[in-house]
Amino acid sequence: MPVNNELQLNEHWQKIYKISRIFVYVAFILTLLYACYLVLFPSASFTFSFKNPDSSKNTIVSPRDKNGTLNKNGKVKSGDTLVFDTNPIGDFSEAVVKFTLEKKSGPVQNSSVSTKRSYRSFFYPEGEKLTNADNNVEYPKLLSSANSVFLTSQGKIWPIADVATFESMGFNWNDVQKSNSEETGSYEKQKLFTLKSPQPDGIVFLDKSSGKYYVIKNETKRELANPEVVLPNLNMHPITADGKGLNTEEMCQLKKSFSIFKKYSCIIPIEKMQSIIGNDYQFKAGFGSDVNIQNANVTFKKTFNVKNLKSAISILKLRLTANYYGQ
Amino acid sequence: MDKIKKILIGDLGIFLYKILNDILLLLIISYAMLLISEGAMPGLVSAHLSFTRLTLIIFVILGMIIYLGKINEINFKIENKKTALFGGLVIFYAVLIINSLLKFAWWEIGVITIASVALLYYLYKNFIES
Repeated sequence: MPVNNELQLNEHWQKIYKISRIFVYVAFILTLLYACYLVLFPSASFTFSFKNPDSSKNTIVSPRDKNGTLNKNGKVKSGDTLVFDTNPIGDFSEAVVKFTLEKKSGPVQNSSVSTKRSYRSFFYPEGEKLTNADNNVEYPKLLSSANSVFLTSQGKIWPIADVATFESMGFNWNDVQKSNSEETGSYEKQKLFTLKSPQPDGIVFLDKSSGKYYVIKNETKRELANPEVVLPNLNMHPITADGKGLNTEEMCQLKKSFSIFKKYSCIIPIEKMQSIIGNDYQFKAGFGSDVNIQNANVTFKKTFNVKNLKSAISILKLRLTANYYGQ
Repeated sequence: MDKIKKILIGDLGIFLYKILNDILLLLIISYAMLLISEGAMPGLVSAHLSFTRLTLIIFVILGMIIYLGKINEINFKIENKKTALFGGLVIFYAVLIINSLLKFAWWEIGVITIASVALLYYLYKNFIES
C-alpha cells in the first residue's frame, strides 16, 4: 500500500503509528498461532440448559435418571444419579464437566462424575439371547438416492445428516445400495439421523473383545444365539463395537470452581479411552446432596503435547489425501 | 455526527486511515490463505470461523478507510503497473481455479477453461478497453 508511506504525520502521531503498527502485527501473529492451535488441538463443547430443556441449542443428549426417566428440571436428590450422553467427533485427552446450580440450590457435596465410551445403542442393557425362533427382525439397509444416504429399519427411513455422522456411527461405505426416490418414498420418513441418534432396531454389533454378535431390539441389545444363520441375511456389515468400553470407566470428584456463581467442575482424564471404538461418551454424575442444576456443560479437550501434535498432523494429512485421491 | 467528523479530520484521521490500511492488508492476505486451506481441506477453517463474518469485517474496514480518505481529502492514483500485489493476486486466483477444477473430468476442465477464457476476453474487450 504505497499510500501509507506517502501520507505524512507529525512526529508525535508518527511515533504512535509506529507503535500501533507493531501492536497490530504482533496481534496478527498471535491470532494466527491461536488459529493453528484451534485446528491442531480442537475442543468440542456440549451443553444443556434445564431452564430450556426443549431448546434445540441443547447439545447434551437426554439427561435422565438411572432408570431412563428424562430429567427436565435439573433437580437431583441426594444419592441419585444424573445420566447423559455427548457425541464428539474424534479423540480427546480430557473432559471438563461443569454444573451451574440455581441460586436457591444447596451446594454440591461428595459428588463425582464418571464416563464410559461406546455407541449409544451398545450401552443398552443386555436382553435375552435371540434364538432362531424369535428372529423376526427386519435388518436395516443403507440406501443412496439423489446425493443423500438413508438408513432404513422396521419400515422407517432416516436421512443421514452428513459424512461425519455416517463415519462416526461405524457404517461402511461399501454397504450403501443404490436406490431411487420411489423406494425411499415407500418408507415412513423420520427426522435427520444425526450424531445424537442411537442406531435403530435391527442393527447388528460385533463385540471385538468377546467375538459375540448383538442385535438391537426395543432398547436392549440381544446376543445372537446362532450368528452363522443370521449374518448371511444382513444387508450391511455388523458395526464393530468394543465390550471393553462398557467396563472402562474414568472419573473425577466435583469441586467448587473459582466463580461468583454456584459452579462445580472437575476434569476426567480420557486419554486411555482413545483406543475404544464409539462416538458416545456416557456420563454418570452421582450427587451426595440435593441439588438443583441450571446448566450442565462438558468440554472435550486435547492436551498440548508432541504426541497429540503428531496425531493431528497425520489426521490433516489423511484429510488432504482423502480430498484429492478419495478414501 | 459532525463532532465525530471534526475529530477525525487531521492527524487522528490520517493515523486511523494508515493503521486501517495495514489491518486491511493483513486481513486480505489471511482471507486468501484461509480460502486456499478450506479448498484443500473442506471444513478445516469453516468449522472454527465464519467466512461471512470475515467478509463483513473486511467490508466494514474498507468502508471506514473510504470514509476517512474522503473527509481528509486523501487522493491516490491507481498506477497501471504490475506490482507484487498483482502477481500475488494472479497466483491466488490460479490456485483457487485449479483446485476447484481438479474433481472434473479432463474434457469438462477443457470446456470450462475455454469458455471462461473466452468470456473474460469478451468482457475485457467490451468494458475495460472501451
